[in-house]
Amino acid sequence: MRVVRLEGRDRVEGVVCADGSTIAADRVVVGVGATAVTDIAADAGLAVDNGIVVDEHCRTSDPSIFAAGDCTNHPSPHYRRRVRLESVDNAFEQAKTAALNLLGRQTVHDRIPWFWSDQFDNKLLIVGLSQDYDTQVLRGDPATRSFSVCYLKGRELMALESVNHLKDYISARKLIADRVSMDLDKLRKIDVPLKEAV
Amino acid sequence: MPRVTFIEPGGGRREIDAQAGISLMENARQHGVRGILAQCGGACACATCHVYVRPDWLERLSPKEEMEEAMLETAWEAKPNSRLSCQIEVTASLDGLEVTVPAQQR
Repeated sequence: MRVVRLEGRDRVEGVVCADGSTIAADRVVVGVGATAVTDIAADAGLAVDNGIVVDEHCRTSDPSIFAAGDCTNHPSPHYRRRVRLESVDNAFEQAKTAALNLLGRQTVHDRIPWFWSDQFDNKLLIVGLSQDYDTQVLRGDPATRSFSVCYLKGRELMALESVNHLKDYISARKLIADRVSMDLDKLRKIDVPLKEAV
Repeated sequence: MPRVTFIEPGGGRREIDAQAGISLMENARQHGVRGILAQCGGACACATCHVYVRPDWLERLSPKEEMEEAMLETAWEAKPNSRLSCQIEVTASLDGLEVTVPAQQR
């Protein structure tokens, strides 16, 4: 159902939908995502498929044209699939890779994606991609506002989301990159440092 | 205005009149100091505004908080005098501060 507008006096009270109905609401979470603007690439005849299609060197389907950033659909060597990332780190790093390749220095873009967001006084830090996992492990008690959620495929850590738990996040960056085999029982215990839960 | 010196990658000295009340990182960005990426915009979430503080200045800065200490573990070639410039608030007492920007941020 399409949302037409939010209504309320001093704060939000309802969400008005296209059919005229209103859903009462105390809080509204807006999750609209983003669309890659690829018109210029499509007009130039470049391959476009959920973003401008590039290879691991940031090269488009025209070998003399490169693309980098949120608008690209690029290979992730680590995750062995194509991704399109809306992330500052990716924009920085892919731009660097593109520049190096433009200068003739063959460089592969292969990074573990990471994301952050400050939600009021909570620090959310995410490393890795959690789309492709079979096991989810919670570390710590969310009520304490310091905890992590681990995403694994078998015993391999694919991604970790942490709320106010920087140590887990930092350890996870390396554990994911190195494809370390995790110990699920240790992983469930927040008292066991993540890097020792192997 | 406190005068602050950045030694940029490659050895060039950049002296700037820093603005008090904002971070050393924000000052560096405003003056286009080379090598300070500050990807996360000052949230202490990325360690790409890493600098080496001239050792005699270390004790004159406000101490590192746990968050910064942990994040520095991810910095490129962190040393005992490493700091994240987004966590250093510029004040008048920092006049004469000198920091070196690492050759790379990761």
